[in-house]
Amino acid sequence: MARSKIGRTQDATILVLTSLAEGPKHGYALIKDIEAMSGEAMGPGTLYGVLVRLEQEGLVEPLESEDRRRPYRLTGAGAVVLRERLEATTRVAKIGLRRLGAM
Amino acid sequence: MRIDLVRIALAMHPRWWRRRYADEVATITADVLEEGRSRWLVAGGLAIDALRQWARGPVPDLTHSPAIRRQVVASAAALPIALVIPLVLYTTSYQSYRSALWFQSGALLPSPSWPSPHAFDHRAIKMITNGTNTTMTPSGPIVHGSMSWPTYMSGIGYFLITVLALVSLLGLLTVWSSMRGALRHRSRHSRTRRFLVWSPAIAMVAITGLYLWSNYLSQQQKPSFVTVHGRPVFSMTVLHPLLARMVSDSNVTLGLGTLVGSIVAMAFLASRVELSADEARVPLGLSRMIGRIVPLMTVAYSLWVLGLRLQGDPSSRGQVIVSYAHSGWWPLALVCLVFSSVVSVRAIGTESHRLQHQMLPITHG
Repeated sequence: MARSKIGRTQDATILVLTSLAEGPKHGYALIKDIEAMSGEAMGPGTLYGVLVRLEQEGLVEPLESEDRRRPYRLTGAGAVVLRERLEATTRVAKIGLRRLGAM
Repeated sequence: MRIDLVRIALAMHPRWWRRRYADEVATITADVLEEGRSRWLVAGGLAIDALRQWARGPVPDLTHSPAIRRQVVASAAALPIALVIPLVLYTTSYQSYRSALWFQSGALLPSPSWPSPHAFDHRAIKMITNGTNTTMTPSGPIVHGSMSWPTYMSGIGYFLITVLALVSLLGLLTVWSSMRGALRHRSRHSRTRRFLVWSPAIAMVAITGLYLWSNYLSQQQKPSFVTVHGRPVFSMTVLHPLLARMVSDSNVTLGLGTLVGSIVAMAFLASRVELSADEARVPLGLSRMIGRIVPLMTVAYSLWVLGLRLQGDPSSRGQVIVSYAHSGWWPLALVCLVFSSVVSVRAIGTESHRLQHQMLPITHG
């Protein structure tokens, strides 16, 4: 089934935050984790578009690294935002599934 | 020679991004390409991200002291207004109307800034008889001029500019009133600082005074005839050209001077007085709102200028052509508006996000 483009940016944000909820990861580890989690092959351009924005918003932060693969981790604010978004998504999903079941 | 698309796409990013992320992204891109992904798709994704980063702007330097941060916020919040107000001042300075209509002893006082296609037909009119102004109702013996669609479009743009400028002014007043108490309290030992706190109010009074003054003077219209393509065209400038120029120039100078003065004063105070996060919250919220208004202002301004440029020949019978003093400045004003849009959205939005997230509790283990 063709994937809708609506909400892709939002999806990418949630995917990155969810992946980092497990613990700090560098860019390539994030790409692999997101692919395993959602089946979505995210490119470096999309990933860093999201990462830079999340860093600017204070939702993720970079850690020191010894090589050129810099790891990122979720901040407290990032955890709060992720929890809120996941709860909202879950609420909508439950309602949607209930309504589909009633059809 | 083989062209490295990925390197080109990385080089398209702004300098701040390349300094911070280029090595990191190049390493990850190499990893991804080793998996066999399409170089074209990866480079395309990076090129799109480059455009996104140009629009977004850099991460602010968090080593700044809070005082400097407040200064940045105050200056950035005021920047759009500093550009918007003079723009409105000079667009409202004086207007000229030209039409092939013969108005006999009377002249319409059209108002294209009102968004109605019949603005010329429904407004109260001014009669000019032997140099004396008298007001008449539209039922008088006047031939009504009509408006072409570009004039109408420019009128809508002009109306939007006015509305957005008023909203911006209200925003500035609200920001000032919310900060005034804190600034006055913390500046109580300095008479100069106490005076500076009032500078936005002084600017508002000065601008209102200038507006009333130019409106009062604009009642003295000077009708005349000019020849366009060999046909007589009625022309009306709301002031004598030299006087109109003086009024408009002084409005721009005084309006801009007073406002910039007040902005500098507020930035100066903000740099020396530490505001708490709660006190800074309202100015931050409103400055973000103003940051969103300025792009709308840019659209309205483009509409206004485009409409003016597309107006027809003033000798075409039955149509009123409108022109404004200083409308030749449009490229400069447009560049200023676009610049202020980018600066305000970027600086204010990012700074505001930062401060809000810094206030959230840390729950991540």
